[in-house]
Amino acid sequence: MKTFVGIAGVALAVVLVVAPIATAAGPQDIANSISEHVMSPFCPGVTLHDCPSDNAIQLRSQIAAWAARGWSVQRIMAKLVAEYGPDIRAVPSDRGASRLVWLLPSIALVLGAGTAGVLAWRWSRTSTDPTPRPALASHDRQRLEEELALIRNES
Amino acid sequence: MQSLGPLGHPSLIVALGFVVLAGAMFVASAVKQRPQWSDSGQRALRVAAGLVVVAVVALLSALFSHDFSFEYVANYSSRSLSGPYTLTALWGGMQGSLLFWTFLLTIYAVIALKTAPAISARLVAWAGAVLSGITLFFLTLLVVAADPFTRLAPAPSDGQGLNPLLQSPGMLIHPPLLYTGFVGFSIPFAFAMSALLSRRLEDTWFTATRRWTLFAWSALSIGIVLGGAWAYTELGWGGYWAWDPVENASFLPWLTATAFLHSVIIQEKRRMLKVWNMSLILLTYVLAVFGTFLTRSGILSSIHTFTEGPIGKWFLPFLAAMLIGGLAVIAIRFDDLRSENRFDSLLSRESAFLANNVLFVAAAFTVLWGTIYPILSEVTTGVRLSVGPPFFDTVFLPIAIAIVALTGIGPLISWRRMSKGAFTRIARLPLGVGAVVVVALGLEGVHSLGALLAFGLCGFTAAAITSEFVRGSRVYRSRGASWLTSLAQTILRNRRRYGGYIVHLGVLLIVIGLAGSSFRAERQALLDRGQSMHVGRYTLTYAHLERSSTAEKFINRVTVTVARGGRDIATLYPQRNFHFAQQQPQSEVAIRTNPQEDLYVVVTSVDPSGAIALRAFVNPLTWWIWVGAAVMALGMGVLLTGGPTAAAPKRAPGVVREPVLAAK
Repeated sequence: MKTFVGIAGVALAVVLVVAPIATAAGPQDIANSISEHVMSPFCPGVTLHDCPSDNAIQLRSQIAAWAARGWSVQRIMAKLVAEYGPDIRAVPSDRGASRLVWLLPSIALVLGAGTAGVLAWRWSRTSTDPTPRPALASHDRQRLEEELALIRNES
Repeated sequence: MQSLGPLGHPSLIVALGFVVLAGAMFVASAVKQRPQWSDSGQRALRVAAGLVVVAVVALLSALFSHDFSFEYVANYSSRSLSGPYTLTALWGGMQGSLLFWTFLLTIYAVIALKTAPAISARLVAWAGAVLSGITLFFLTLLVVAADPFTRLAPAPSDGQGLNPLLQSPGMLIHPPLLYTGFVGFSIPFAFAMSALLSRRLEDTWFTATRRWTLFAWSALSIGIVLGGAWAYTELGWGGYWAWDPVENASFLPWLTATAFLHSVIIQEKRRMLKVWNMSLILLTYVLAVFGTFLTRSGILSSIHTFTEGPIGKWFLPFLAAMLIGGLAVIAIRFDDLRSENRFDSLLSRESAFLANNVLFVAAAFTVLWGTIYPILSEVTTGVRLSVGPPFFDTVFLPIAIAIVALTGIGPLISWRRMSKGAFTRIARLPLGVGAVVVVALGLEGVHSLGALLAFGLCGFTAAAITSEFVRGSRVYRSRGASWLTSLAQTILRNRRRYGGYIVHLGVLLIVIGLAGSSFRAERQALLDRGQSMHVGRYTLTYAHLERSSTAEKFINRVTVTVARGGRDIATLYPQRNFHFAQQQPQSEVAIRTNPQEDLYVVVTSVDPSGAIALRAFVNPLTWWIWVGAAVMALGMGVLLTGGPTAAAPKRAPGVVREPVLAAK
């Protein structure tokens, strides 16, 4: 019963705090999203979205105007690349040599996880602790956990 | 006020001499096994620290007395700059920040060596040698390549002032905290190298520096969050983290240090992962210095700037020496660093910690790769490519979500081994809570997979951690104590364990705040007086413009009334100012904040007729980020007051390993 009340409390808190946060996507949302995916030609190293210069404000308005006219995201991006060059993309393309920027983190993660997994598996197979571990009866387990909790809190 | 600036450069030169002397005494003490020489080295280092303090006082004095005959003072301060921001000018420029770094380094070195437990004179001597070597590098840099006391002739009548963006209360605390973290890692690094050099590879080096590591990590953590708060309140783009290289530079050592703080627990408890821990602390310090190199060398704007820059070419050999030297010593001592135990089972807390480490290091690699890729592409192809926030969001977020999941799984698993049945039993409640969160949000119309996953895992992990507190408190409850007393007793009796859990709860709150950003709404509009715009559920009306002037800036103060559901609920006052000294416009944002969402308003331009460009954001759950940081700080406080660890289990019989070598 306590568990149920706890879970119900969590659900209520989630609904009250997080509920009204879904938003519809209009032309300005599309423009905002695009401006987060292109670097600003006016502020080095900063996305167009984050650039405070007057030119950036104008370009953001221009993108919003294109989106309001019904231009697709691809068309707007193509227009920006044609005007400002390929560097305006906030990420390199996933073609050719640039694909490496995307692939390497995944390869590193897989290799790291694989190596750690193999090591952990080998270590667990070569465990040197010879102590056999018989299964515990439920009342023994409960008592053990209580006493362990005591020890943990004393240590 | 009389300027003491002329004392600065000579103090640094003499300090350099004393550091060379200290280093020589420490090395001689370690090699010849003469502890008294190590004491002499410490005395020499104290004198050097005192002289660096003199240099810092000299620069502060020059700043506060407006002695513009010093180039640094003229570049980063002005007569109209207020007192507190004149103080921030100390770390506002490259030379000053390097002096501040050296100041912290010498003070930390003196304290760490003085307070090192009476363990091994040789360990302390080698640690002193390493710290002296690092200090020598920074002092040389200050004296030769980045002198904050360079003269300017003729002296201008006024300075250029501090960048208006840096004139923020956050800048009084944020950079010192970051430097405290960066420099603080030099202590565990020095003791780790010392342990390798002196072959004192038992637990001494990390127990002696545990508080230093925690202190540095805590300062860096809070510094990073404060940096986010500064960006949020000052930069006017509605966010707090942009994956900017400067931000990444502070995040990289934080990631590896976090991995270290977790994996060193396995070394304490099970005497395993010694090579890994040595490598992690080496990597953490190298990344801390690398971050400074990255942000101070000019390499980020272009590889060509780097070669022209004054300090870039100094950092690279230093970094290479630390990395290659550190790895070489680890390789030489490899046999001495063999694990004394093995994993008993794949389903054990050790495995969870190992997975945690893989994820943190992979996260660090991802951030490093994305940060340096533009430089690599320029070097290899001659074309500089951009790697911006979308890359980091795409690659980093899955790793972060997995880390949140492990944060919940870890406390549920016991050390050494656990049966699948026991795990399933104990994980039932947290899994239930996570599922309920996902279902509740789905029913409320949240369909973003990433957000559902993040909130669901936060629910799972919060329940897992909370149940640990409940289990611990039950013991005291059974003795008749109240819940509150039981909770306090539980935390105070095992501060390291429960302090860590409090930090994790703080992290969860931050993750909730970050996940909320995926529902951000944003609008911008050109408004005349009386006109309105809508953002989210709010209607913003441009009511009034008030213009005024101070010695520093021309101020446009805009009054914006906020209505929701047809009812006025607040009035906000964003500003668009013009700073005379820098000839630079600057927006001051206005924020209405509550636990559900922030309404964030910024004026991006004001034209002569009084029309304004208004940009407004609704940022859901951002409030929780700052609350999470406060909870983390509380947990760090509990952790830092915790005593030494419980005794590590004795070595299992029959384990073949190298004996722990005593000092020669």
